[in-house]
Amino acid sequence: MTDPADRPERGSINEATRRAVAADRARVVAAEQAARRRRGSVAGRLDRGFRWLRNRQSGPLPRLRRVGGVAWRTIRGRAPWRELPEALATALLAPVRIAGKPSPPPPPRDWGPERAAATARLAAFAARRDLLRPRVAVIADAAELDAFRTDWALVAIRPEDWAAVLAAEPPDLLVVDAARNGNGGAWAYRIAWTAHPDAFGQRDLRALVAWCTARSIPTVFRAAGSGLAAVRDWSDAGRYFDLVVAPDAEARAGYESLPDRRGSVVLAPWAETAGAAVVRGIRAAA
Amino acid sequence: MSRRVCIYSPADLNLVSGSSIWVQSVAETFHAGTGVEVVLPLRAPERRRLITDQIRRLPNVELVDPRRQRRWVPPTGLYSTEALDLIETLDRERRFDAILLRSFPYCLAAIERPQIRDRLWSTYPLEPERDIEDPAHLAELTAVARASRYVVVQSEEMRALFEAVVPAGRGKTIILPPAVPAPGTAGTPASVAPPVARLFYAGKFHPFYPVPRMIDFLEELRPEHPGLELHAIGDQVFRPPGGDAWADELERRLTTTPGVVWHGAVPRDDVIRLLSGGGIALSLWDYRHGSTMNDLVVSTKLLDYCLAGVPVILNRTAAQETILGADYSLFVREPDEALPLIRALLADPELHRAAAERCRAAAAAYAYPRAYAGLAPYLEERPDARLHLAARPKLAGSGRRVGLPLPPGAGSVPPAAVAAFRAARDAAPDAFLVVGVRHPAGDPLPEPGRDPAAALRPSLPGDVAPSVGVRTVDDPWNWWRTLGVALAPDGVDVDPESIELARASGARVVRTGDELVAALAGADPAGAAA
Repeated sequence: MTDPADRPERGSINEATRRAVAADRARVVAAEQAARRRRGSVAGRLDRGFRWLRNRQSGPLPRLRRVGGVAWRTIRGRAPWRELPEALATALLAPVRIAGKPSPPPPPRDWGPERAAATARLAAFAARRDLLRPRVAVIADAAELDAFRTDWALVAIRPEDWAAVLAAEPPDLLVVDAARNGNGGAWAYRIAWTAHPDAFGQRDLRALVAWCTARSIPTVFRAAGSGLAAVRDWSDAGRYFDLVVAPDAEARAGYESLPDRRGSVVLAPWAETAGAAVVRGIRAAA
Repeated sequence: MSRRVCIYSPADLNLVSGSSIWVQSVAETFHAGTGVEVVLPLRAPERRRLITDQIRRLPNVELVDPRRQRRWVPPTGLYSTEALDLIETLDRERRFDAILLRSFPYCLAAIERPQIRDRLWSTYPLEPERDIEDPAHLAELTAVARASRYVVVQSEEMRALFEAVVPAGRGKTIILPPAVPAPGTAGTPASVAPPVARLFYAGKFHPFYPVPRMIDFLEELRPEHPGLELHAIGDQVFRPPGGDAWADELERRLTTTPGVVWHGAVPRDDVIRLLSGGGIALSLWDYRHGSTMNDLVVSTKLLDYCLAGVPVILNRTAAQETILGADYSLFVREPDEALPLIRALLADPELHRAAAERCRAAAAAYAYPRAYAGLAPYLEERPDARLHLAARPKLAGSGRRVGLPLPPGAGSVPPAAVAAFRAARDAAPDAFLVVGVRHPAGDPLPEPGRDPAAALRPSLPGDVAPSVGVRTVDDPWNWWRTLGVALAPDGVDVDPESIELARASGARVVRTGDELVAALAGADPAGAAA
């Protein structure tokens, strides 16, 4: 589902697109006005009347035929009389709202401005010299948490209350590891691809990233696994983040090929799990 | 107990396609139930009897000619409202216990009809071509879920997706996969098919199914295996709106390429007979021409291949991994990866036999009686039907997770439960306790990161707090999939309904710290609960 913070804003459409959209809207408005005039004219009214009479689904003839069928079944078919009012009402009034063909897919989103903003967030973080020991909101498994702890002041956030915890003391950075359990089990089944409603759509993760993005806090996803499995097994989670740290070239190519991707992708030596490696990745991307 | 079921799908049974074969499969599934009478109104008048004749063999299935509704029906069949009128007419003549209606637009129209909506089983409402992120479509799906008696989906994966995007469907979404005859029964092959140099494709011809690439494979392999053939079955050729070039070229290649045998439309039983002569089946998808929602779908044609006992080369998807196992050796990510696998199968009879046996064994889980058994509690309106909704496969790693279900409005985590968990955690340090507070009906769902249940955290002692999560539980059926053990200490006010669901889900219900230690000791740390 589209998160409110994830919807394209005015600034995210480039100028050419904006002009094209405005011209298109003007055409639609002119066409609507012409159609309204046509509908209001005598010929338009007659045309609509004829079309209604001829309509095979919602016109008067099929409805009358249905009413006749109900009466026939009640009288000759000995259907219960108590069902007659509801049957007549359904025959006469049942809406014929049939969903049409699905609307065409929306045009691809222009991610350029989003990516520029993501790079700016990463650059601002990389340029900060006051951060000897940054405060980092983290989701990771136990071994990675221990490794990060040497370099960072960690906030191991939980799904139930991260908004209050982070609002009380905003972090300098959000780092989400491709973690199966995530912070002792708190994020299990919410990040990796799992056939479970908690995982589909990654509602929690998207809300968390949107919250940080709205406050100019850079966000980093550390992919795990190798090759395309590093993308697929994590439901493309990295595409919401400002930066994906990919374990190998194939995974990097996999993330880079995602059309709806907010941030950039860098390659990091997988052996390095400490926070310093992530910061090096941020500097490389910035 | 006698039950009367109406099945309607907008598929035209004059054409042989996945949708029309599905109708036959579902009719056979319900027919497997004792005392179940099936009424199957046709959308279009019969012109070809390839599928309808197969259905006529079933004594408890009645086919209804669409001309019952109107004297002249065009070849395209009844309009949707006319089809619903016909169902209402049949229902008035003799009441249905369930009305299984396939396709989203029909379900949306049917929920407006008070006469039938209380028995409506809205079937397969998620359609790949509709955008599930579109708020208008989501609102319509929610209306369908609210008004229907049940929502029917194809697979556990599809149920998870539906319940994720349409919370109104939670607790009323049931699974009806496509099904096949039980392996070994009359009319099915007695054993796996022999290794023969043949490739098979059965189904419609659409760019999503890369048949031209399969013909390329044949041409590439013919110099090494001169007797190799590609047998293509089906007669529905998709003609894209942009022009006929793709379809014309495919038809030319199907009819002129040496080694290609195009059978056209063939009844399903004959397809299985043809397949059981031996060969390699290809079930490949090209995602450039179709939605990834197909990853969650169980394909009827895959089950037919499996029943025939031929090895199948297919895309690795969640649903197909569930059918064949993640370690099945013939999964591909791209159609091009199929070529080396065909080569290996042609060269190695042992690989061929092992893959064929795996496929044939997989078909047993989708036999008609098994598929009907999954639906019987709902159709027969058994008192425990609600509990059957909780009987879902546990997720990997759930064995070490403990659930404590509390009633709505719980103000703190009971000390007795904390003490029991503390004792268990000493024995199993990776255990995790999830305190679930039942969501009060009618309240809005919690926003991410702002769960009201977080108010329980201050009552947790500091030593156990890192191993405890709290959450509002609005979906107990799926919640218990993530938990292997239910904690209900004596004297603690737990949610009794949730404990019932926990039992039905296969979770162990324990009362004391010792019982909890024993339950966690028996659980596989990495695997699912027993």
